[in-house]
Amino acid sequence: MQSQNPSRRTMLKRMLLGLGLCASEGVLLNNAVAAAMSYDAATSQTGLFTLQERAVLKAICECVIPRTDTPGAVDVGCTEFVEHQLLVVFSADTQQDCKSVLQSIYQRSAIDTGKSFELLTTDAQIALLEKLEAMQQPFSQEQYGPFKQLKSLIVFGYYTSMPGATQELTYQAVPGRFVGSVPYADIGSAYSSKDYY
Amino acid sequence: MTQHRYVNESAEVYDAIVVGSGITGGWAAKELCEKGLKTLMVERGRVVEHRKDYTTEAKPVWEYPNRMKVAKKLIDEEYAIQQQCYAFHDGTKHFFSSDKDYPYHTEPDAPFSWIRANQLGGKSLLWHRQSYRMSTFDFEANAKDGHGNDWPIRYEDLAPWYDYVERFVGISGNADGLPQLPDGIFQPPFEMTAPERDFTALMKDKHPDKPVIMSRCAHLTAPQKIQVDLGRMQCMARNECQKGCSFGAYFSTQSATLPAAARTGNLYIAPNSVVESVIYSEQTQKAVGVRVIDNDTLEQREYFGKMVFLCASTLGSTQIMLNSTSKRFPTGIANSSGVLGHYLMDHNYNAYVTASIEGYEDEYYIGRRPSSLYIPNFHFEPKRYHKAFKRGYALAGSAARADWQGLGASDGFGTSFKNMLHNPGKWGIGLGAQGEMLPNRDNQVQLHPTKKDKWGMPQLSINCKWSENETLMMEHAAEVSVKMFQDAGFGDIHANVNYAPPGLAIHEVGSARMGRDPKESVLNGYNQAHDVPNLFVTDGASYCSTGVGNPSITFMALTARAVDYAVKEFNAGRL
Repeated sequence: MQSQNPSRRTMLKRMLLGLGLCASEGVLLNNAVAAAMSYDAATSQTGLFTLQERAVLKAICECVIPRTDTPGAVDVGCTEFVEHQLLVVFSADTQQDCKSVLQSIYQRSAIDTGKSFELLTTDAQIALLEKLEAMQQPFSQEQYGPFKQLKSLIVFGYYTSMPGATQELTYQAVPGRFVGSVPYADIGSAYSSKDYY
Repeated sequence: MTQHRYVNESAEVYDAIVVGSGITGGWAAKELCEKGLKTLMVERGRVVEHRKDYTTEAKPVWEYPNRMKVAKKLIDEEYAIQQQCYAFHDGTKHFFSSDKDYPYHTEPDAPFSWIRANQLGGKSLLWHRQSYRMSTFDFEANAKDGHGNDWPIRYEDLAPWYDYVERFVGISGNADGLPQLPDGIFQPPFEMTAPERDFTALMKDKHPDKPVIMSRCAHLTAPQKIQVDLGRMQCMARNECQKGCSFGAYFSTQSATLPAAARTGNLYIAPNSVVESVIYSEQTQKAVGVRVIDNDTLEQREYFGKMVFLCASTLGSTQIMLNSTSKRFPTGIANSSGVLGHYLMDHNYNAYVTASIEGYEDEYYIGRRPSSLYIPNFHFEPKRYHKAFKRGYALAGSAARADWQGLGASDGFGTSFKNMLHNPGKWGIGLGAQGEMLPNRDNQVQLHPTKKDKWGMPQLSINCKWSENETLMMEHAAEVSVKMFQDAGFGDIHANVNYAPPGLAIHEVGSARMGRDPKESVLNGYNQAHDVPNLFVTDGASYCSTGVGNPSITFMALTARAVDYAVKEFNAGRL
């Protein structure tokens, strides 16, 4: 995670140079470093999922946002992030719902193919998940809601990761001004940066 | 720039004591200091230094362990109420007060969300910065329709003070020439997006009584010398203001009034000083200071002043007054009328309508705008009232493109799903109502007879409910918004009317109201207590009605005007 420090440092430096405030830079940078060092989501809280559930989740992450010319959800640690976020931010009910849907996917795969979900080809994995999204038998609303929750979390984890935010989309730390109308082609992607997440 | 000095123990008699350091306290201190009065600002919370203490500013989302979300355990234990505020997240939570440390009482059938920000700068660090003058119609409303008492002032009394504060604050906005929303001293407005521009033009034709304008907000878009001299700069369109802004681009105590007060050399600050009561002298029949409890050590101490300005927020000031009992004022200082604590009001934000907009795929924007579209109150005088309810509401909202967060649960997988999220989605638009609440004596705050907080202060007991008038108004606001969207040709229209309790607009006002008659009000037209000539209350507690617009700019104008009056009276030996 130390590799992420320079980004904030760079942003702050740019900001401070703009402010002509380099005298106080040390104070801000110390805060930045302290804040960044305290972040270790991957190892801070684990223990919601079984190894099997984690393997299914990892495969789903890659199905939702695969590696292309930019990193995919697995590359940026979404598997670990989803587990962390469920444990820390969400209710016990939501945690259990998400565990249940991973188990349902695992069981469906085992029944239909005799194989664990993560061992299926990507096409077969996606086909199964598409059934879930279409609520085709044996999937129902019971799995649909929690799955969408899980999917949203994967997407959230990806686009709020540094690679997802800065390589896949456009991250504007300091836009500088608001322009109400620009050709979309001039920007070329959605913004990852938001006022409220 | 001359620095302010922090004070702990002090036997000095200051020219003035200001309780609170938020929007109102900052203004009171600035004006008093600039008029040459040695002023002690008493703040119950910790010190927050401009820039240095904006510890989350510019920290990218990926550096937050929970990506800006707050841990559930922490919310459950300390922030169940505060987290209802839209601006509460992992990057701002340190500027909100823990519910555990700041308890208050409500009856089960009358919940109230009291959002707190107890630190130097108070809610000026967290506010939404929308700035609207109250109009002639707002000041006349109580007299004309008979709800509440008549404001002792009119728009003309406050207009020069609006000019004065706006020039200093820096308000971005457009002079729209509307009778219900007086123009002010503006810096250039923020731009509209393309669909917003077209919606505005279309509504001019289809709903000429409901002009759509760009909102007015306390952001510098063309900084003037008065602001640059304080180290303030142009807004960078980050719209992450509540983390603190080192550019000083939005108005806060830290960015503006505090450095202005400090450079006079007259400002002293007593942080971590929880004001327990105003000390009243039966002999002189004046306020002589404040009794405080140390925020950390819980030790008592006193500060003395020749006048006291209560600017501790509507409920904060009211709590202090109710707790300031004496032989003459057994129910709270300056409460000979018995009105203190009554007529609490808030704005009602309980209607919101969304829609989707076809087209404009080639249109996008740069930056995150701290303003919105705004449709000022169009029921602004009795002859324009709707038959089902009195007073009116404004509508505010924006059009923007859907993003990965909103689209995250969409169907699809793989590269095509990733490609879909790579681009922004359809345009959507929302309009939310901001409705007036009628003054009602039954909406009251009192001191709880037995419950106390950790400083030994009796807890506030809040009993405040919407009336049918407000509920009907919200239903109407939703209907009107739907109609406007239909007339604009928008699709997927969803109307939401909810019944969230008062408090969440964070526009609580009215519990120590002004008035001409000392028998039915606490303060006179200069925010001076009828009963105690050297006691002033200039925050929202002094309001007689909510009006429709966001109130902070009016707090500022009232405060500057009150200080001007107080200092003249002081210099003439009448305080």
